[in-house]
Amino acid sequence: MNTLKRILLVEDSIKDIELTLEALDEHKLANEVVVTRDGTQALDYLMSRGNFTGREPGPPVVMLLDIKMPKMNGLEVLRVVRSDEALKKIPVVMLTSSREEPDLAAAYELGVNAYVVKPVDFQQFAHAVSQIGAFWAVLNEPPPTTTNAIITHDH
Amino acid sequence: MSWGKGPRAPYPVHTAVVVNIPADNELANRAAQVRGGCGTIVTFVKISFAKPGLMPITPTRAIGPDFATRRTRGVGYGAGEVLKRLPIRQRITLIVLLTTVVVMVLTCGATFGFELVSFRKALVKQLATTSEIVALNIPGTGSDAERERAFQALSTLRAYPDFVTAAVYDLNGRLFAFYPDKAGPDGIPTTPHAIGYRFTGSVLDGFQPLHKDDRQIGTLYIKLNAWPTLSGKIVTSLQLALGVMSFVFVVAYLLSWRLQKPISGPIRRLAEAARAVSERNDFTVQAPRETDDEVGLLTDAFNQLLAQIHAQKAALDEHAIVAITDPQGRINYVNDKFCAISKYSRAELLGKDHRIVNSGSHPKEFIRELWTTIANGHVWKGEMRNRAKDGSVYWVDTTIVPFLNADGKPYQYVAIRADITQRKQFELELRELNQNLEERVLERTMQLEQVNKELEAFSYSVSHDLRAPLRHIAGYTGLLVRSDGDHLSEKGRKHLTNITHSARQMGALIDDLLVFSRMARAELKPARVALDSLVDESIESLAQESHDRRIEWIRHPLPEVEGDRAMLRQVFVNLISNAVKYSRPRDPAVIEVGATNHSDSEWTIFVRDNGVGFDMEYSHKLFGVFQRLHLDEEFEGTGIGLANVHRIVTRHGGRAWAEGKCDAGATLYFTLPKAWRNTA
Repeated sequence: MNTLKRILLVEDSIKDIELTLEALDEHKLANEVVVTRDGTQALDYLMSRGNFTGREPGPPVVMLLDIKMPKMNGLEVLRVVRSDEALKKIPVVMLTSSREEPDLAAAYELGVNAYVVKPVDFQQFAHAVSQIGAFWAVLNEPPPTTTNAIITHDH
Repeated sequence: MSWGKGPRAPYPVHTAVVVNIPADNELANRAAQVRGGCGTIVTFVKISFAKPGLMPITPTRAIGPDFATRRTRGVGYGAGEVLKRLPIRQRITLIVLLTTVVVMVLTCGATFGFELVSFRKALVKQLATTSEIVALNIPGTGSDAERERAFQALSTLRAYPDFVTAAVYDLNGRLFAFYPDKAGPDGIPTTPHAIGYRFTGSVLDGFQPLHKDDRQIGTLYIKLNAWPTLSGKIVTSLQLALGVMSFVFVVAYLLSWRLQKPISGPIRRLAEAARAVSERNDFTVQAPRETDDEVGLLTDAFNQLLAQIHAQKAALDEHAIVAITDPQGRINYVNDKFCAISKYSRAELLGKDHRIVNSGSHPKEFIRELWTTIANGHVWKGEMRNRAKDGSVYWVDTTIVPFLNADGKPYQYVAIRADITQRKQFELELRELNQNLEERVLERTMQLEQVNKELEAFSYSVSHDLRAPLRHIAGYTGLLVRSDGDHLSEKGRKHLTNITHSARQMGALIDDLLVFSRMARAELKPARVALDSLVDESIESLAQESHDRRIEWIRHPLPEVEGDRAMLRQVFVNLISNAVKYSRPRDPAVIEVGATNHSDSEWTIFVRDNGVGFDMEYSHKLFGVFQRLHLDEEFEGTGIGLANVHRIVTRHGGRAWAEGKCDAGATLYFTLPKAWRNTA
């Protein structure tokens, strides 16, 4: 039975959010996309706490992570996620406009699954996003969760 | 004391008895070390040395007091050796006298001998004559009356000088008569012997035949004792000889004394000059040239040598500061420059320990090492800081040369120095300057690093923050097309396309600018790079763009060079992508990559295409930032690519240039030095 595949989009720019959603929507990947506008919110979501206490349980099949965000940037979020026992298996794709080598190096050092630079050209951008979605949300097998168990965090 | 062997062995031999003589020169003392023989000889020698007229000049290490000791070594004990030690004046006199005496003795001896022989001959002759006369007075040898007559005749001989006895023999050889008759016939031979008178020792006797009417009637015998006469004669002769010899001796002595002056005089004066030189270290002394013989030659040579030494010394004094000390470090000699630089007068320096100019700026080990080196007979070189009389310090570049005697031990140290105070000052200043410089360089480097870091941060944020809005522009334009593209007019759709293109263009520009700035800033990471592999990578990276075209690649082997791999790859990527881009109208496009080796110091690499080429008139603009020679519609591009190439190549120490012809392709050249040079 197909559980609803959920994508977590962590992005601060409203315009980028809109563009990304449009791109995802174009190919009707029929996923639920959860959007958080900064790193702390993303972690709250992942750990089902704060604003997201009592959300639908289950990890997203992929987390699209921007780097440049206020408060907590993408790399910091990545570090936290990768060091958390429960969260570390979640696939993370860096989706950012930075091609800078330090960012690349740091991201892979922290164990990111993929690093995609957002193309300026819209066609290319849309193509990239849909490819990401198609791969992670459709083709890829997500890491197994304990059968029928609901992941909760006691906070 | 040991026992020596010699002509009159054995006799006691003293080893190295130093004779104290009243000479100033220490060297004369050393020269007087003699192996003393018999006391008399030592005394003799001592006297002669009281006049130090023949001291050698202060010798250098080369000849050393060896020279002096060699003179005194192996002293013999015969008169010949003694002779060698007399002053010339006395020796000449002695020789003349000796010659005179010998000559005299020989002459007198010869004369005397001759005289004696003649005298004896005369005596014999005289006696013979006398005996003949007496023989005439002897009538016969028969009767007594004849005996009486014979006796009378014989008795007349009593007046004859040295008469001893006479006798007559008869025909039969029997004694007939003799005189004097009182003593008896002793001392008279019993029979006559040979005729003739002869000497036997100092006795003169002999036989004379007696004749009467031409017939022998007997023999006459006379005996004389010539000793008194002879001895008298000898005594007289000796007295005469002695007298003459004494007189001659005196004359000879006076003559020789007078005559040796022209010989020994010049020699003595030469020796005096030499002594003056060695005692006073005064090389301006010149010995007077008095004769034209060997001594004159010697004098000339001596004077020349002296002049040369003096000149050399003067030359040395022109440049160097010279001091001579004894083995304990007491100053024996200083030249003017020493006085000048140390600000002491000569009188204040002579006899003092050299420590007087110590400034105490050198550690004990330094001084100890110095003394150890020179005490062992080795030359020491170094720089020293000394103190002058007024307390000021000066630096000297010092060489200390020990002068060694025959035993290899130093007997004096000659220190030759040069004033390097100025140089030391400069050195100090230079070091300070360098230090300053280093500090400033460090400061500047830190500043630069700071700037770099800031630029890094700047470009980072630029790349990120500039792209985002661009993306949005492009994005929303795209969405607009998607959502309402159908409702738009042709023109409207074209506008949207233009917006998209512009956004894309700006994106490319930002990317290129970032690359360019990174290339300018980044540190070169030199490594051995195989250029062929870079070409391979470049071609591969362009594979997608060129997959639908026919491109002929002409590849010549490229060398391995020293450089930054990433940057050099960028060069090839740019050049080859340019070649691919500008040969788009060609089918097939021919792109050639190769290298030439014209120069010893650098490689020349080229990328040639058969594309649209360019007008050489604008070739100087090719490598400028954002400079393009074509329109956007013709060929896309930001105008950064070649600027990048130029920047990278220059940083590697090479040059870049291009040749082209409109519509006939272009060749881009660049050089890379064979030896790694960081001209970053």
